[in-house]
Amino acid sequence: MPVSVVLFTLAGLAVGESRWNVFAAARLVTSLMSVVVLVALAVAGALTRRVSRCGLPSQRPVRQLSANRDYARCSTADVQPAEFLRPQRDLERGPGSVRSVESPTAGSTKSSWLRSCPHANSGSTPLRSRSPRSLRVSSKASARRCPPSRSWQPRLAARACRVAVLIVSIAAIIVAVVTHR
Amino acid sequence: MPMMLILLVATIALAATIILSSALVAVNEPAATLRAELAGLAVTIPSLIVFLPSSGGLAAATISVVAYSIRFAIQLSAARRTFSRPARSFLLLERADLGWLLSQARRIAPRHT
Repeated sequence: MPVSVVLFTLAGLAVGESRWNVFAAARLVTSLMSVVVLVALAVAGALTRRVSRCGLPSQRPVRQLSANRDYARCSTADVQPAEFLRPQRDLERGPGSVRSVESPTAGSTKSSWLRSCPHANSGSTPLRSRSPRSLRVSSKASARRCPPSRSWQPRLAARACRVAVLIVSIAAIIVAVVTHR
Repeated sequence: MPMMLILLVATIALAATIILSSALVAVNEPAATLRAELAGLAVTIPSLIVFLPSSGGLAAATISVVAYSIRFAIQLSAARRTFSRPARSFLLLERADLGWLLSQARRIAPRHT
């Protein structure tokens, strides 16, 4: 970014522009906007990584209840995430608790094993003690610990927005001051 | 020069809009972004047709501010609902943000030195 500002400034000087700092200022703003876009992409990536664990983009996690099993599967059905994210009857323990997980059955997928925290609706996922592949083939129950964080998605989105506003506001003030000198 | 100052203000709204747009799309809410974009277009196109011939670039800059602000307001409203957080939490800086920003900068800095 600083390199591009310098190059733009030199370009302005090369063409004999007396108000060369306007070029630099304009370039600074566009560079900062690129940074904001990168931050936005990072936020989107971070949110998506935890939200979409089904194989296909069109798939949504679906809660499937039965008499003795409570697990999720990925389906192509057009189901809103909220439907999946209802509290589970056997997962009322608090964050950080260790719980037993039942073995996978036909219809369940690797992703279903990553979605069994009591606070799954806030985006947290269980800390895996084993890989999903090994869980899929295993018939034994395994224990996993849920992380203590509860609502990182809204916090991340809000923080990214606040920080972006801060950075761009500071840049805008700098540019306004520089160009009015 | 007033044009540039007006566009600088627009940049702030645009930056927040970009972030919120990505966040909403990431949590399966792309409709909010679409609504915001359509609303922005609905304001921009007629306004440019009406005001551009008479006021030129100044009008274009002002229309951009208005359009970006409308987009931002719609996205903010959607984000408020989706993330169940008050609108001010997306705008007002918290003390912890500065610490977080510094820690991120420190984390990135060694990679480039």
